[in-house]
Amino acid sequence: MMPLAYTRDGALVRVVSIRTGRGLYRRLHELGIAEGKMLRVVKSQGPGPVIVEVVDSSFSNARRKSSFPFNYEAVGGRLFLGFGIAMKIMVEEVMAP
Amino acid sequence: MTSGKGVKIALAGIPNVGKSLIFNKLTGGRAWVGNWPGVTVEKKVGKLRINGIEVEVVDLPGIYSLTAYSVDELIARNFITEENPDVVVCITSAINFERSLYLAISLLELGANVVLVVNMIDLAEREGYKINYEKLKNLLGIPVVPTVATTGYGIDQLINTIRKSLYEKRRHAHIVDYGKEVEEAIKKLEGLINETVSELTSKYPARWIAIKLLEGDSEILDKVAKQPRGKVVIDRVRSLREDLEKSVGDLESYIIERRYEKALKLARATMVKVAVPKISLTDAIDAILTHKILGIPFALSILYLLFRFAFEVSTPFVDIIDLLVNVYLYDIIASNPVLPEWLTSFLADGAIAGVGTVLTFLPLIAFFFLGFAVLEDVGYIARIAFLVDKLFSKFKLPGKTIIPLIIGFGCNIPAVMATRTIEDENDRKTSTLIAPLASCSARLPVYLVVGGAVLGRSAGFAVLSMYVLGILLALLMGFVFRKFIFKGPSSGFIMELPPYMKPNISNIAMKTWERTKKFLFKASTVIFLGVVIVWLLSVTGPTGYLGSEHIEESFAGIIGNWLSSTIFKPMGWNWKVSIALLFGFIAKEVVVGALGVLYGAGEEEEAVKHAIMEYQVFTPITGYAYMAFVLIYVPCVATLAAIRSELGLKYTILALVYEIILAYVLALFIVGLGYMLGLT
Repeated sequence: MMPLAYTRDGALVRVVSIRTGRGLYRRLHELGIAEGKMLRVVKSQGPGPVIVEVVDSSFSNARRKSSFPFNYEAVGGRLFLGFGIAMKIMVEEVMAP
Repeated sequence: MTSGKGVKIALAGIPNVGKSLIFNKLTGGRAWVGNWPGVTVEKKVGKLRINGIEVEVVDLPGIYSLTAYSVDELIARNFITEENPDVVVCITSAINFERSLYLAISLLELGANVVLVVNMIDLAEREGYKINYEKLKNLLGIPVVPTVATTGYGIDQLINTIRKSLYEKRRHAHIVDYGKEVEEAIKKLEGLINETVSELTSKYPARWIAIKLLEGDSEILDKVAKQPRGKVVIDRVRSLREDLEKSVGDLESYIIERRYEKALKLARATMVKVAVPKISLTDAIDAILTHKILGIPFALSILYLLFRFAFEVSTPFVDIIDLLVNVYLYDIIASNPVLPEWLTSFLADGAIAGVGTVLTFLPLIAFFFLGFAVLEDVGYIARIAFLVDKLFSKFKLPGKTIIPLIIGFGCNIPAVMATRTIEDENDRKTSTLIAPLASCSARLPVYLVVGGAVLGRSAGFAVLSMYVLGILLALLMGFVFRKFIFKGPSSGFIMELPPYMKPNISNIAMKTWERTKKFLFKASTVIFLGVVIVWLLSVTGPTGYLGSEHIEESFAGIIGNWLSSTIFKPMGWNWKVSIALLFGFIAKEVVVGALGVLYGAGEEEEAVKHAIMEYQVFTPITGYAYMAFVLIYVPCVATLAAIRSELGLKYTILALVYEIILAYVLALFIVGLGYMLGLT
């Protein structure tokens, strides 16, 4: 487990916990970043801010073909999370880049 | 539609869906811009005529949801419940469909009469997607209009649909199924709400109140608690929450999750893939532009290009305005035989000289903002925020702070106003206070003249160093403010990063005009006032009216002499350059004009430069210290006025005081360092 800020470009990660205040916690949930959800790290300044895509792995009809062995669907646009927030979201790497 | 009262519609949407553009297309670009009551969030209102009916169009802030956590969201939901707009147009983006639909669902739950716009369908089609609008319409039970705001496609149909919806109210508050247990709880609460706090149900649907109570919405809990029999409901909510949390876990998260699932389902059911998309151009460009190492040099080059563009293209326009105002108009007024001498002096030396100076900046600032709007529209500015976020976080500032700072290179007034987009209150206030440290275009002539006169071949480097110094000081002061005044952790920031897009002309024109207008408006009001004061100081003295020829005996001259013999003594600045600083309070460029007049060289930059060389006004060190002082000390009056409207008088005074002290300390430091190194 590590903060999202420490992930590498192209990694696929699962959100384990979010340690922020209530308002931000809720905003993240509404953007699809919640415990158990998968994210693809598009860009990371590891450690630093990250650009992520929320991944809907249950969907086979891929919108953007990924470099992964399986297809995935990006839900909504890309999100840029500042360094501060990226440190508060704990994730585990599901697939290395 | 109820007759008798004004017909009102509201536009809602998440950020980056093209809402402002649709607002402009609906209202013809004419809008009244003000603030929402009590907060500095911009409110835009325009008018749309449908079949002879005048419809007021209100642009709500860009929001993702309708919670009580964010000011913007509270504004939006209170507007919908208090003002009860006849139609709420929810603008969604076909390339960010799921999140857009989340907001649409939230609006429906609130009981709004929603018309759904699916914008940017051209971009979705380019990515190989098609949306089944008919199906979406049936699933949501509301009208759906596809549009491409950039070309105007679908706008007529939207106006038509709005017209129909004015007469046909559709309420569809029961849009999400929250699962058996929670639905039962909602039903129970709904009944109780209708019975005990029926006053509230005239504004909000009972179902919505019930859901918000279960979510723990602070504002609604408050409102219910204030009702005479509200406590019954609150107690009931508490026990229901306890029961439900045993089976579904955190209830707030659970409710969001269900709503989110609904948005996902709707998107999946209505979006079909029809073609394989081409390789993403965005990814290819981002591989370089947001690269950890390469990104920064690229950003610097792009910003440099932006400057070059603004300066080169605006030059002829600047010359024309200069000629018209500062030469022809000035001559006409100055040589008139009718007016009394003092009035002629006021009009020519005060009003025209001051306002003329400011006006000559108009082309430069307009072209700077034009270039900036292009970068913003293609999506590059957000990437710059990403690039600097790590560095900025070391100074306790969010990467987003770079945006007002870059705007500040053009003009500090819109820069101060641009800090509004920073969500966290402490971060926002800090950015407002440091934004004036960005070296605006009015300061450049001072650097060019003083630096050019005394620094010889290092002049170019010295000028560049001012820009770097401005940013460094902004970061340092940001850190100080964040650490000692606006304490507390940052709530951080999240920004949607849209794909790179082709710039759109009407969008760019709109943004350029909005920023330039801010400069023009403030400049024409506040600066005029400043001009009057400075003119008065320079033509009157203890003996009364002196005329413009005896500046040394005027109040300004006395102040200048006092300044140069006391506090500016260590810097070795004479009374003339000291007064020029006083005049620079109006706009920094005035410093050059003032020096020109005081040395009898006219306002021509080259001539002023030669005069400074000839009279040996500065040594290289005192000249450089003077440049740094001009960079840092008080932003112009108009910027102070902008800070005041954002933060109030107290913080405006703080901005004024800290900048004067910082400028003084730094100038002293430069002179001291030069002395120690034996450079004088």
